[in-house]
Amino acid sequence: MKKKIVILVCSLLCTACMAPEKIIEMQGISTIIGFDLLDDNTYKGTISLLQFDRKEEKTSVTLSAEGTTSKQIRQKLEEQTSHDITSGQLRTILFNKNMAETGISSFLDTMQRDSIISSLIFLAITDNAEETINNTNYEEYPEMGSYIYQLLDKHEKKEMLVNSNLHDFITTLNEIGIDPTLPMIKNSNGVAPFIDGVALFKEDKIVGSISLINTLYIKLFTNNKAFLGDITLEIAAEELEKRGIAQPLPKSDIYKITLHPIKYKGNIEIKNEELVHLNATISVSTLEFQPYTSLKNKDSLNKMELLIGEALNNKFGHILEELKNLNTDPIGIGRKIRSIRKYSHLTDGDLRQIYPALKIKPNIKVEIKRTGSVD
Amino acid sequence: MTDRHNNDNFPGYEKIKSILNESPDLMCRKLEVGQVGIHIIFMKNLIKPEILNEFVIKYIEELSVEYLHYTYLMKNIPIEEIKVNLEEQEVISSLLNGFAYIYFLDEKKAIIVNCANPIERSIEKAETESLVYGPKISFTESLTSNVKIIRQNLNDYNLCTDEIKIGERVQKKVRIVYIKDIANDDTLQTLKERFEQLKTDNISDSSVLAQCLEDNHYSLFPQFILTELPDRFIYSILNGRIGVFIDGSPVGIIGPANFFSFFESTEDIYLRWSLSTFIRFIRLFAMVGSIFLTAIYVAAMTYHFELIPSKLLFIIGQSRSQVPFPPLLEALLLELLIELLREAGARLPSKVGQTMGIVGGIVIGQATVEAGLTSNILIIIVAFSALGAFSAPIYEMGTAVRIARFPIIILAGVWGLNGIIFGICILMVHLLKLTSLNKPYLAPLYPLRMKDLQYFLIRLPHHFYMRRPLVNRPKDSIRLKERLRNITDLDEF
Repeated sequence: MKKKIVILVCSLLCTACMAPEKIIEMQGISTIIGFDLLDDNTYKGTISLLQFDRKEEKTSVTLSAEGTTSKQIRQKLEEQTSHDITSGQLRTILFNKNMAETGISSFLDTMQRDSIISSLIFLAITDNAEETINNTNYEEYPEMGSYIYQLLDKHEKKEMLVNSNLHDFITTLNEIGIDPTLPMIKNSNGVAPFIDGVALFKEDKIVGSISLINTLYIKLFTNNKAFLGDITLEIAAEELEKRGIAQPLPKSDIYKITLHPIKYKGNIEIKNEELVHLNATISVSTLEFQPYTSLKNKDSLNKMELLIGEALNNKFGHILEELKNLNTDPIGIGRKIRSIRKYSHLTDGDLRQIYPALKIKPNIKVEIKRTGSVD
Repeated sequence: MTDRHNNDNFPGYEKIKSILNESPDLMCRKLEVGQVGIHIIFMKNLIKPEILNEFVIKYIEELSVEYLHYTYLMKNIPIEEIKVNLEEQEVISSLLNGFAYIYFLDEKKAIIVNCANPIERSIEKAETESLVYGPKISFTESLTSNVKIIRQNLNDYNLCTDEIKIGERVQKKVRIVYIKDIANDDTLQTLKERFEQLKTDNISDSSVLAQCLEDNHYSLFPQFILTELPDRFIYSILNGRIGVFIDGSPVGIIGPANFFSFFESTEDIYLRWSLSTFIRFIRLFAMVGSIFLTAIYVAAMTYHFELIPSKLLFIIGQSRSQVPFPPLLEALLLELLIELLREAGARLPSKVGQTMGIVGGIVIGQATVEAGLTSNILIIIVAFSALGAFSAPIYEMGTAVRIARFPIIILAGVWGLNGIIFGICILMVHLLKLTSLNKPYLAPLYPLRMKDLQYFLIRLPHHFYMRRPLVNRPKDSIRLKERLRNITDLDEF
C-alpha cells in the first residue's frame, strides 16, 4: 500500500512539472529570427520555419510581422501559421544595423529570460534582416537559419570571433571596462550571406566595425587560445635594404610575407594612469614570401623579426587610435585598469572619460620559429 | 524392517491391476518352476523385452528349484538395480517407471528389478544457444545422460549430485549439482530449503522449476540462468554456482545468477580477450539501447524536439510529417508489429519462418513507411531494439528486455524524458532490491566489488583469472594456488 502511494505521489509530481505536449510535426520550428527597425519604435520581425512536407519543394517558410515588442511580433507571427511557433531550435538572432545603433539590450533581456531560448544562441548584425532571411542561397542546408548557424558555428568553434553568443554578449556588456563585439553578416544578391567584419559596440549601441582579420589584435589580449589567422604584411623594399636583410634576386618594390602564428601570449601592462603597454609575443612560422626571399641567415632573421614586429605595431597603433576615437574598448583595457586596487573605485563613466585620453603603446614581438616548414 | 517382511505388504496381480485401473499394458507372466509359482508383472511398453527375457525369465527358469526363493533371487539376480522392502505406492510408481515386479506366490514376497527402456533422444547440437566456437554438445531430456555428460567433462571427486524428488502426483527426480569445496554452503542450504518448501503437483520443465524457486516471483527479470550447454553449466559450477537438473528437461538451471551473468556467454572465454570484451560491451550497450531507444524517440518527438541536433531535425521532421498518429501510438504499433512477427516466426516451421522474416521485415516495413503510417527513422530504431533484445546470450533475458521496453515507452509518451527517468528509477530500485538465492542481483556493481568487475564487465587475458568471482562467495576462491604463490602481491589480482 505504501509503495502504491509513493508511486502515485511521484506520478502526480511528475505530471505537474511536465511541459505541454509538443509533437514535432505540429511545431513551427524557427531556426532564425531577424529584427528590423521601421520608424517610430515599430519593429519588423522575420522568422524562418522548417517545412517538413516532402511534397513541397521549399524546405522552409519565412514569415514577417510588425510590432512594437518582440513578444507582440511573435504573437502576430503566430496568427499567420497553423503550426505552433517554437523557439526550441532557435540558433541565431539577427539585428538590423540601424536597430543596433539605438541599442539592443532591451531585446536581449527578454531573450535571456526566456528559458526556451538557449543562452548560447548566436547574435549577428546585418544590413537588412528580412532580406537576409529571405535570401534563397544557403548552400546545401535546408534553410537560411541552418546555414547561418553553421557559418557562425564554424567561426565560433575556431575561436575566430571575439563574442558571438547571447551569453558572451550580455556578460561583456554588463562588465565594467570592456565592450562587446558581434559578427556582421553581409547579404548580397545571388550569393549566400557571409561574415563581413566585426561590429564594435559602445554599451549596447553599434559604433563602428573592423575587419575579421584585424580582430587578431583584440584576440591577442582577450582570449589566450584563439585562432589568430594567418597574418599578411607588406614591406617596402627600401626598408629591407636599409636594414641589410638579404635581398631576393627578382627585384620588387614591395615584399609580401604571410606568417602563420603558432602560439602567442598577450598581456596588458598598466604603467600608470596615463600609460598602458600592450605586450604580446607571437611565435610564427613563415608560410610565403612574394617574391621569394631566403631567411637562412640568423642575423637577417632577427632583423626580419624586428621589422615584422614594427609593422604589426604600426598597424595596431592605427586600430587603437580608431578605437579611442569611437570610445569603445573591446580589448578590456578599462577592466584591467580597474583590476588594480588603487583604481578599483573607477566607474563605467570614469573609464569612458579616461579612455580616449589614454596613451596606449602597442608592443608586439614576433619570433620566427620556423621557416620553410613542410606540412 | 523385519515386521514389514511379515506383513502381507506386497500386492498381488489382481490388486495391482485394480490400482492401475485395469490398464491393458499391464502384463503378468506366470511362471511355474517345480512347485514354486512366480508372477512377473510389468508394464508392456515401458520395459526392455531383451532384459526381461534374458536376465529375468531365462535366469529364473534355469535356476534349480532349491535356489528358487526370495532371498537367493534378491541376492543373485543379474540386474544392476533392484528394490526390496517396498510400500505399495512405490511398487506402483516403480512399475510405471519400467521396473518388473517379481512376486513369489508362496512366500508372498517380491522384488522389483529395473528393466526400464526410457525413450531418449540422442545427444545433439544445442538449438536455443548457439556458439561459433566451443563444444557443440547439448543436454538431453534424460537426467542420467545429463549427469553423465557433466561427470565426463568434470572429473572431480568433489562433484556432488544430490538427488531430491519433487511433485505430489508426478514425481520427478531432481539433481542438485555442485562442487563441494567450492560452492557456498549458505547458498546450497537456501536452495535446499526452497525445494523443501516447494509444494507442487507437477513440474513439467526446468523453466517451471526455476520460476518456482525464484526469490521474487513478480519480477520481470529471470533469477536463474537456464542453459542447454554443458560447457556453460560446468563453467558456472566451477565458479561456485549451483546447478539443478530435473528429469525430462534438456535445460539446466544455474543459480545464483546476477544481472551481468546473463550477458556473458562461454564463447567469451573461447574467443580472444580483446574481442570478448568488445562483444560484452556491445551486448550491454544493445540491451540498454533496446530498452530505452524507442522511448527516447517517443519522448523527443512528443516533448523535447529541442534536444534533436539541428542536422538530424530536418530528416526526422520530414519522416514524421505524413504520420497520422502521435509518436506514442506510432511506436507502440510498430513494436507490437515486430513482436507479432517474432511470435509468428517462432510458431512456424523453420522453412516457412524464414519467408515470414523476409515478408515481415521488408514488405511490411517498407509498406508501412510508404503508406505513411510510421516514419522510417522509427523503423530503424525498432529494428535496432529488436536486435538488441536478441543479442542477450540467455533467451530469458532477451524476453525480459522486450517486456521492460513497453512500460518505458508508455512513460515516455505520457511524461517525456521525466517519464523515462522515472522508469529508470523504478527499474533501478527493483534491480537493486532483487536477489537470486539471497545474493544481490546487481553484483558486482552493487555491492561494488572492484575485483569482480573483470569477470562480468570485461574479459582479461586468462592468466589474470587466478581467483573465482567473489560474488558467488566460493569457499575456495583461489583457482591457481601455485601461480598465485609466486606473485608477491596477492591483492594485485
